Amino acid sequence: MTLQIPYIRCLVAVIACCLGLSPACAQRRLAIESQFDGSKPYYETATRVWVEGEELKPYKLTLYKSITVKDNPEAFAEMETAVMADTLYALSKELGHIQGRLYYAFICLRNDTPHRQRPGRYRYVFYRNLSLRKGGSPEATIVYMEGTTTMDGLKQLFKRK
Amino acid sequence: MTDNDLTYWLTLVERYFDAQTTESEEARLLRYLASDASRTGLTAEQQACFDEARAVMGIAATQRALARAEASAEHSGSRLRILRRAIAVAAAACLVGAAFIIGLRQWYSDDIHIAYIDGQEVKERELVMAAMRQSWGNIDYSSDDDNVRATLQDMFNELN
Repeated sequence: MTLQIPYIRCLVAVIACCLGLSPACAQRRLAIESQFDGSKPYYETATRVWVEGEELKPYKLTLYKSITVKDNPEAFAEMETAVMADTLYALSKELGHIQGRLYYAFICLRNDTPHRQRPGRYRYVFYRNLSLRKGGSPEATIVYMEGTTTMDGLKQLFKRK
Repeated sequence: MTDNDLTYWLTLVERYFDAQTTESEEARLLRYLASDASRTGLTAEQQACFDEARAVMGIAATQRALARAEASAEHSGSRLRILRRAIAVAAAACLVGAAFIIGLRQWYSDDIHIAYIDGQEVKERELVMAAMRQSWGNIDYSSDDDNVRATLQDMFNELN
């Protein structure tokens, strides 16, 4: 038995190294992730989009997720709360309010995910609650993106659409 | 050499062939047979007896030496086997880990385009991209004037 200890220790060390590289060692979870994980009651009826991969390369993005909720003021309040929570960790942000409520938010955060960590990689949380505008449609949208593009780059991107 | 001494040694040789000697007696007998005293003043019969004992003891000593050498080789061989096993296990674990990471990267890098519209899952690329453009339109990030106008209007309304 004592003769087996050295290679058992070696095996344990190797497995520990492999687990250490695993993406299970993830970055801080954003508050808006609760909007995309199916935990909200309005999740099933919301319009959701998930795009990842080659489609987004021209835009210097790797991930695009959005959720649009209609005719649900309680959901709008939850979405607003989540977005405001994530502004605390923003590298840059632009916020607009109407009647004390968050009308729009454009937030840039650092992407710290170990398996995706590369210089210049960012995460973006964009939000707009159209129901706050007079005559606006009763819906709110959160868009979450990851990529190497900048905030200015995204402005140009949207203008080209 | 006295007769008593010779009788003792001859008796010891007989006991050796009968496997009745102790280790110390064997060692003593070996020393005696290696000495000149066991080669002089002996009859032919006694000399032959001692020669036979020398031959057998020499073979036995050689066998013991070989056995010790084999035991040592086996011991170091078992260490080598353990080391080889450890290296093989570590290499296998590294391969499994690398395959896991590559598979995970492949999984993450696979193209995904899915939309859920009015509760229906949509995977057709064109429809999903249209839904994506629609959600971009909702955000309307490029419309700075609209954003500023909306918030300024709100401020003026509050002042009034």
